Amino acid sequence: MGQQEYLAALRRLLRTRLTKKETEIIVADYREYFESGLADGKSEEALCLEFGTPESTAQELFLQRQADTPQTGVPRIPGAPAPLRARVSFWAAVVMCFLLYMAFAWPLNSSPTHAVALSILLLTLILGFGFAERRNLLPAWTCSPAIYRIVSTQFYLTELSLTAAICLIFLQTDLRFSNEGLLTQAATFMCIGYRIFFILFFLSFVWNLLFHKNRIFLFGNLFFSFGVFFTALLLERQMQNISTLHITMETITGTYGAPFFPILLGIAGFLALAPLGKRWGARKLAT
Amino acid sequence: MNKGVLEFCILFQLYQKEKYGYEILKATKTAFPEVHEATIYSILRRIHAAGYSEIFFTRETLGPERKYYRLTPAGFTRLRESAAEWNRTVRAVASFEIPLSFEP
Repeated sequence: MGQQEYLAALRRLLRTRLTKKETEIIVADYREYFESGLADGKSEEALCLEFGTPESTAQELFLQRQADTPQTGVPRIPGAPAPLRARVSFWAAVVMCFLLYMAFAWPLNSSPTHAVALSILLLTLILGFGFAERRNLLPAWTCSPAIYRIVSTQFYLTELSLTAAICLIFLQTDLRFSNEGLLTQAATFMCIGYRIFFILFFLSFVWNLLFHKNRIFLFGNLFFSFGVFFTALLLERQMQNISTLHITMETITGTYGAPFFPILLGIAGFLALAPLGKRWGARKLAT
Repeated sequence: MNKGVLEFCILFQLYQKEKYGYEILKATKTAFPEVHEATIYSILRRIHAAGYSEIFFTRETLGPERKYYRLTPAGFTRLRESAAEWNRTVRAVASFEIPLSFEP
């Protein structure tokens, strides 16, 4: 293992639990130690052995940091504003609960008490997770690279496949249904499905905002959650005059143009941001 | 190894002379071979976060740019406290007259 591989591995491991800023500081310090060691006449391999594996280094840094947190944490000055990250997370959670309320109570006319109770439960969960994460109370496995990789890959794939599914539904140029009962059932089923997907997307958005701050996933999740949300709204409106359901491409782009575009925008934004984000990240690493 | 002892050793090194990270790491690792480099590095970071040291950058001729650590007045106070505690500990242990490299 050479210096570059060592530092890359270390960066990847640290990013699972530390902020980008902190990670970059540590990686820069280790790069300097490598350079100092090389100037001393040691080989890269010898230095890698000396520093220990990236895994053990990351583990040790996490452990030490965990032990330090209560003592070195700067006490908040009463009345001073909370750190930006905490504020952003808080408002994200509030916005999410409002949207959840809308998703549940507004289109389906379900009981508002139900929606409020669910919103409060979700708010508690999200804030609890955020708090536990900041205080390092979460067990280590929840922050392991493997879990992170699984979660992020899963969201990425779910988003892509769902977008494809939504597009296919919309691109059916001539949807005719003969059986009215079946149609109502199918539409209801779809409405519930979309609502669940909306919640999943929005949760993944908030999760990213709280823990990973991955720009690409953040935008992706936001776009898709709104796309799905509007799709659910559209379907429910359609259900009201269900006996005359006859969707053509014109009715979609004409009457229901508005919900169609967030999805297109979402796909375009996602596809545009992914390589941009990668390039931006690569340039950051190079400097 | 006791983290307080490691911190004391690092503070003492900085008291003697301003040093760069790898130099501190190497000297501490030589004295305590069983301690992980990342532990020493973490303590160095903690010392800095607590305001006991300040950093400055110097580029030597034909060398990489290095982050140097220097003791601050707060660090000096901390070193004085640590030294007092260390002396107490050493005196207390010495009062038992344990022979050097004692192996029961």
